[in-house]
Amino acid sequence: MKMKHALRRKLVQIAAFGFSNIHLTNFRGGRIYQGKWKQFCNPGLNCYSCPAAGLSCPIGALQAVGGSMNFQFSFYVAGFLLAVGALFGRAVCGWVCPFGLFQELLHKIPSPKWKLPGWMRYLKYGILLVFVILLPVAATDYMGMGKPAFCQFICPAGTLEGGLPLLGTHPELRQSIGALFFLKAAVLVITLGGCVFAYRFFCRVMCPLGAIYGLMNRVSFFRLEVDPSKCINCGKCARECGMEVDPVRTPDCAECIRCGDCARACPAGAIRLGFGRRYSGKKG
Amino acid sequence: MSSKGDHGQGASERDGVRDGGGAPASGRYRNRAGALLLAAACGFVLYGLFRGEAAIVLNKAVNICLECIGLG
Ligand code: SF4
Ligand code: SF4
Repeated sequence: MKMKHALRRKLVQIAAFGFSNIHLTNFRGGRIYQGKWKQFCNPGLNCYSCPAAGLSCPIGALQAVGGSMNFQFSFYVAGFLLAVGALFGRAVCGWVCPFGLFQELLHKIPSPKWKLPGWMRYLKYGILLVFVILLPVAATDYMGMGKPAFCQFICPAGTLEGGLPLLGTHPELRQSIGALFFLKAAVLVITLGGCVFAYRFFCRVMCPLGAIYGLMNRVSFFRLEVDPSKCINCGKCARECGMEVDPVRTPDCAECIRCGDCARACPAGAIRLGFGRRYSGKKG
Repeated sequence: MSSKGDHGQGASERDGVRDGGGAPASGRYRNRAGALLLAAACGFVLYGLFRGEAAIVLNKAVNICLECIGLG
């Protein structure tokens, strides 16, 4: 049963990864998909300049509209993120984000494993505010157009999924490599290394999308509940959690990706993940 | 140092505040807030579509984004 849950989550993650990156043949020749589906956003982080991507990256899309000549804020993308967040919260991270799965695989590489200092989780809110929301709107050129600052200076998914395959297949693009590329390559190396040593390093420290969904864990319809009448306070759930959450104390913590590892670890079967509310919250 | 699955966090440590906010919201408040957000989200999407934002997203996504690949 426990094994079944872990396998089920992996299968969903792999299916979502495949769905997000369905145009695999585009890697040959370094083309990107240019069809109509790209007006829709992927719930998870997946660069739209990845040759295989079939949908838009929501963080890229948010900046693209915010930095456009006519608008400073994207109701379309913000509405999409609010809807997904209200339904699922950060379960998107635990179940369907392609970059989340990639990080989990990196963490399986044998190495010393580290905890992260608590303050690091707050960096992603700063990144969301400054690089995704403010800079594309505030730092504009003479035509009133801003650049997607998160994509430009930080996003390791863009460098990995878009940059490396496209630069590898387009010699003319390689001629434009400069300081910006080396900055982004350095961020990518730090991120990949971080993910080997610390579980989902990017999700916990840097991801603006995870920051948005995390804040919505408190109100999302998909939720984690602990039955106080069953919980024996053994602490096994908190020890098992890779995101360093204690689900008994803070079931709606913004770091919880609703992966269910705690529920699997609980010897009393006190933790439930799903839609709707089942437990009254009374000890008994 | 610890790996996922062994964070060395005992029950006593659980009494300290180490995972930030996220105490459970009461059920009724939560359902209302979720429904309200969902309704607002639908309004946002429709308004964004009406303003033509989907075309901007499409236009950005079907061309190679130089910023994304580290050249912009
Ligand atoms: S935090 Fe970001 S990268 Fe991590 S799973 Fe969530 S959306 Fe994906
Ligand atoms: S609290 Fe449970 S569901 Fe949430 S991230 Fe930790 S192990 Fe996963």
